[in-house]
Amino acid sequence: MLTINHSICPECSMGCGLNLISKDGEIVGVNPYKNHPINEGKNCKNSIDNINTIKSAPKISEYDYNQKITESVELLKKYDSNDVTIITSGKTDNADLEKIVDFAQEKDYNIVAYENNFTKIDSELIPTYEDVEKSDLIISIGDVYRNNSLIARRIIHAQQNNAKTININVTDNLAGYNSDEFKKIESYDEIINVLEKIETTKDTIIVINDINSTENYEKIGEYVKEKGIKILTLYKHPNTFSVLNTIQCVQKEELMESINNSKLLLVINEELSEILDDECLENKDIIKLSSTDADAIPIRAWYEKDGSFTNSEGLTQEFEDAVQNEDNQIKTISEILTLVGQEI
Amino acid sequence: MEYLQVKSTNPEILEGGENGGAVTAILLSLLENEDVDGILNMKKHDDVYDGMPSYITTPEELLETTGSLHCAPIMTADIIAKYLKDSKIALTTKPCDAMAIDEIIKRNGLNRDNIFMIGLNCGGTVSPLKAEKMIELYYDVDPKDVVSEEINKGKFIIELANGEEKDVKIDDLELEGYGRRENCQRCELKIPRKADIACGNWGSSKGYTFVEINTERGEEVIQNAIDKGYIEVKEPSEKQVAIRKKVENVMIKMAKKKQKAQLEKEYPSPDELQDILTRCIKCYRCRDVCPICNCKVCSLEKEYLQQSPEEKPDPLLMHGIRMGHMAFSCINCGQCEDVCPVEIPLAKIYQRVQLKYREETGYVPGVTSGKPPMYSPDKEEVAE
Ligand SMILES: Cc1cc2nc3c(=O)[nH]c(=O)nc-3n(C[C@H](O)[C@H](O)[C@H](O)COP(=O)(O)OP(=O)(O)OC[C@H]3O[C@@H](n4cnc5c(N)ncnc54)[C@H](O)[C@@H]3O)c2cc1C
Ligand code: SF4
Ligand code: SF4
Ligand code: SF4
Repeated sequence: MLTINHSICPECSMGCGLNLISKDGEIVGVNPYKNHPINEGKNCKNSIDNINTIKSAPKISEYDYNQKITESVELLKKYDSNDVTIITSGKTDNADLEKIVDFAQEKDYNIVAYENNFTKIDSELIPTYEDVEKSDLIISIGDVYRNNSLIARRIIHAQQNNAKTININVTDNLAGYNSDEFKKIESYDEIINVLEKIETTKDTIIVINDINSTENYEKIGEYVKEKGIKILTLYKHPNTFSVLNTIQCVQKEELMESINNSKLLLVINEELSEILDDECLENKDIIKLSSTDADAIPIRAWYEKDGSFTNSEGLTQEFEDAVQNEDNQIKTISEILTLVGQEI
Repeated sequence: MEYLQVKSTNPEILEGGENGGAVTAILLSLLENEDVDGILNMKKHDDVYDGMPSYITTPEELLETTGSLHCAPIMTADIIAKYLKDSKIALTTKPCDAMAIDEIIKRNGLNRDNIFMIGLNCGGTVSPLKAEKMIELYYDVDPKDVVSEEINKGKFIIELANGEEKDVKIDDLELEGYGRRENCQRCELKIPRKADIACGNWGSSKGYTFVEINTERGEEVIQNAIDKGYIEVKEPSEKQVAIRKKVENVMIKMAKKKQKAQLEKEYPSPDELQDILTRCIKCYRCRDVCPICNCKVCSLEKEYLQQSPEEKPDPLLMHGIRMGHMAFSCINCGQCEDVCPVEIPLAKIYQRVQLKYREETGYVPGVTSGKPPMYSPDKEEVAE
């Protein structure tokens, strides 16, 4: 049976809609969601690559959780609560995030996330996507064209309304080629000096998706406040906005420290090997919950559950299970944590 | 029996149908008599701006799909080619859908015997978000209050929950950058004559659908539906046939005028075009949704054509190659332009090349029988 349902792309924090095509309970393709207010049926390469990866990945719809849950409970019981650290990410939706935070509080576990050096930003400094189209000066930091193409589209609209555009980046990049000015820097440590030299207008907006340290990001935040302008951050995960607002987000070194100080890691929706050397995980006990790692305890994938998340402009968006496969027995993070919590 | 006026005998279909409910009644006849495994048509999902392709296998589901959705510029040809190739299905086809299917068949991507094409005449579609904005601005109505919309006599008409109707001339809306999608404004095929039947309101009496029968199979489908009591028919008068022809000709003339304006006068200069194409992120969405691009192995992704993310995009490595491979068959459906995340006016670029090719060779994609003169047998291998 062929079905087509609305969903939201989980590849960044823009919140683009897409229509998923499923056949006999499995995702087979995408169709443009042309009346989605954020992207009008347009999706970027990351979004399509993600669907193609899902299409070619092995499918599971059944899993015997009993043994894994028993093992996890034993591990959790074995250690003191301050030896246990939960690491999650903005790939987790709001309900599951809340559950994780409650679980951590209840059991007194540490909880951290690494969100590419970004930290919480005052909501009054954040523009809407529509504000970007109305801005007269847009300063982009990072390759927002290639990595967040649907915000690039808004910048193009602003250019069509005669906005000036400047790109700052440490490498040549597509945003640079498509801006009126490109400022190439050696390192983001120079960012604030470069920004200081730009004459801003009251409608200036900074659009950023890349930074090398929290300190530099916070400096940009101060600069934005001082100048009375706005900043839109495009995160690498859909729900980073909520993560930044609920749990302690750390830099790589601090993450490593947290790991070193722990004996058991409960890794939920995060790929540590993409952030750190595997070495720092040696001799650690790890319980991993993931929808993509075949060796982890499987959890419901984004497209196959109902949920909500908060996008870059601070808007909470809801999404529904787009596959609607009644035979799918895979559990959500919340369901698994409830079962584990009952046993400890 | 070239032309007929058709209406459904089922009161529920008549009530929901756009005109005489002929399309739904005929689809129901095909489904209930097991001539097809399923039906692919368009369904109102959340509201009138949210048309979703829907694959239907039961009469109950079918009855929920009556009515035309003018704010649903969605193509279904690639859905059947990719996912329903081996099923016997009936589908509603606007002229662009019908042209797409014809070109896919020429590339061996579909078997014509497996598909019943129930054609819909088409004056154009409106992009849904643009429609909402336009309704707010020019109708002074909250778009959410619109329960149905139609295009008739050159006007875009909306109906509100309280039964009130409001209309604005499409020409006026288009002057302001609203109205139909730009490719639809340039579209010359208004009646899908490659479909088994072509259904529309032009020339019809109130409460009937005007049907042009194009194929033997179309004739059988109609005859079966009459015999089994799904539809009632009456012949149109000569005057009605003439009116329909006249409207069709006016629409074609208007499209040619728009082609001249958009593809010549307003067309970007070579330098502007170079700048516009520098935006391309190589997401391949334009290729993915293009009904002509169906090759098993796409040349565009070949290793030696790839650039590093730091290099300035070379339009020749993407659009230069794609153009050589398919622009001669471009049907101007506008799907590529609709999905391009960086607003490259692709349908304009590709249709312009096709029209030049047409001048030289006479080949009209989706209409001319046989393969285009530049057709390469290498392209015969269609994606699984
Ligand atoms: C976008 C659009 C523009 C049109 N413009 C004209 C015109 O200018 N002149 C003219 O004579 N006729 C036009 N028609 C056809 C006309 O509106 C009726 O669809 C036709 O007369 C059949 O009426 P009916 O009562 O028999 O159809 P119904 O029994 O109401 O069935 C309509 C069928 O069309 C399908 N459908 C609805 N929207 C779409 C869509 N966007 N794409 C594909 N399938 C769809 C539905 O799923 C349903 O199966 C247009 C139709 C569409 C969809
Ligand atoms: S391209 Fe032509 S057939 Fe297709 S929707 Fe537009 S006007 Fe209709
Ligand atoms: S190039 Fe664009 S307009 Fe032409 S057929 Fe392909 S998708 Fe349609
Ligand atoms: S859809 Fe646009 S950005 Fe993507 S490959 Fe095509 S032209 Fe390039």
